[in-house]
Amino acid sequence: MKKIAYILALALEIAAFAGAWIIHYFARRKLGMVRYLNYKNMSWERDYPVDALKAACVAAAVVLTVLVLLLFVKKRKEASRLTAAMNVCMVMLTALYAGYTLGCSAEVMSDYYFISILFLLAAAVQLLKTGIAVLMSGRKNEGT
Amino acid sequence: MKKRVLAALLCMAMTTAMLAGCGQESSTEEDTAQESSDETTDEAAEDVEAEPVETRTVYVTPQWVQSALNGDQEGYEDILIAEVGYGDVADCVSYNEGHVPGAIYVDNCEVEDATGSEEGAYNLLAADEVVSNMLDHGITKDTKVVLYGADVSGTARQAFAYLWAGVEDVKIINGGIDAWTEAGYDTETDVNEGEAADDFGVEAPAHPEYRLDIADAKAKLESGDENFKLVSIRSEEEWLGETSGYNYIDRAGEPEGAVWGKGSDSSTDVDQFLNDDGTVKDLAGFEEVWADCDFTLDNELSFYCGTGWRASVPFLVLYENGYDSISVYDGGWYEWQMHDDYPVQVGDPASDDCEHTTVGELPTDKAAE
Repeated sequence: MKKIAYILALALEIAAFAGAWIIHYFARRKLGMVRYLNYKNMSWERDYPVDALKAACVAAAVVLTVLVLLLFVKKRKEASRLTAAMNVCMVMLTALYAGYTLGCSAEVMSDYYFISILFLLAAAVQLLKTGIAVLMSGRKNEGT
Repeated sequence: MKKRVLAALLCMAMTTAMLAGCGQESSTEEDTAQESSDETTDEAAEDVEAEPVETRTVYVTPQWVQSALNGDQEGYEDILIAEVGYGDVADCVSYNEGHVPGAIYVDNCEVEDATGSEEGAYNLLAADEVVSNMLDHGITKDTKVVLYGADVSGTARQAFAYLWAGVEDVKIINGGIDAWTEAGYDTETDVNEGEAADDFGVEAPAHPEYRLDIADAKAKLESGDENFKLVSIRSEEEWLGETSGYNYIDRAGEPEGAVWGKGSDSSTDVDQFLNDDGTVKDLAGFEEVWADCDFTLDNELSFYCGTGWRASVPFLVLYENGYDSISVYDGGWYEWQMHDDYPVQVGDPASDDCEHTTVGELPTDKAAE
């Protein structure tokens, strides 16, 4: 069960990155795609507080990443190598999401919001996966 | 674990071998075909004969272009050929697959807004920006420019912008790269760049009268001038207000007072203006399409569509046939429907069912799927 959940989470992360790549690919080549993205950007900026949402999502991702990382450091003796690797991935994905979201904009890239959402999805899945792995570290030892 | 890794490596190796095998076979076939087509190409390029054309002629044959390249068209010894595409050259599949020898690449975004914002609205960029982008390619008012591209209306849009800015002689290879290769001429895949120039030679836009902005179009419609016709180059569904035609426009309709000039089966084509072989029709062909329309060629005509691409095609055909009372209303339906208080018609104005209202009253569920 744990293994299946892990594979599904990994597949979701890969799908998020593949989606981002596909959107970016067509956004560079297809007039219709660029114009649809422009339209969505304008609609979202008009209908939602996108700047506040951006800041809140980045802050939440960074705070949760730090918390999971602190918990991992606390339990590092009980944690496996895989859990350590997952923490590294988590930091990288959160850094990618936060860096992209804060460093880029819809004026520079028409697919900015879509890619930002997909990066957030990948970072959130990794955070959840890593958080669970860290929390469960040492449970086996407790049982024995 | 080791077994799994080995199995995965084996699968990868087999797939790679199969792909390499397929590639090798087709490349051998291509080599043979290439050799025989090279001979045909050389003969076709040397034997070409083409009648001279006027400065104002826009749509030319591949044969004319080849004869100009051969130095057989007086005054056209130094033509600059450019493929028109959307986006960076590295992302333009058609240019990188093979283009007319010596052709540079020009981007639609060098002449028009790419943001769709209220200020930009996919209109032509400011003239100095258009000129600066042209100068980067070495295009001045005296350059004999020959354009072609995968999109008939996108290419026409670029040609229209160049003429508006002040380039005096702009031509388009009628039928594009397909007509070029069908004529038996060679292509190449090298990326070419023009030599930058620093003086355009005339204050741009040299022909502001070719373009109507939204305020001009509205004022002309409201002036009551019966000789002025705002001509919609859009599909029947767009004209009747059944759909906006675009997935990025929510409202459907037309500026009140517009007449229909047909031309399209959807928002992405000008098929009714094309011959079966994909070439743009001559004036007689356009007159046939417009036979039952509510305007004549004696009217002052301003063409529009969604954002100015399709409308450029009839403009160029009338331009090359010597008509002067013509223009393109640049903003099209996209910019018109941004103004809530602007008058619109939904439906055929000749029928009793036509609804006359304002943009703000239109439903917002008419975006194309």
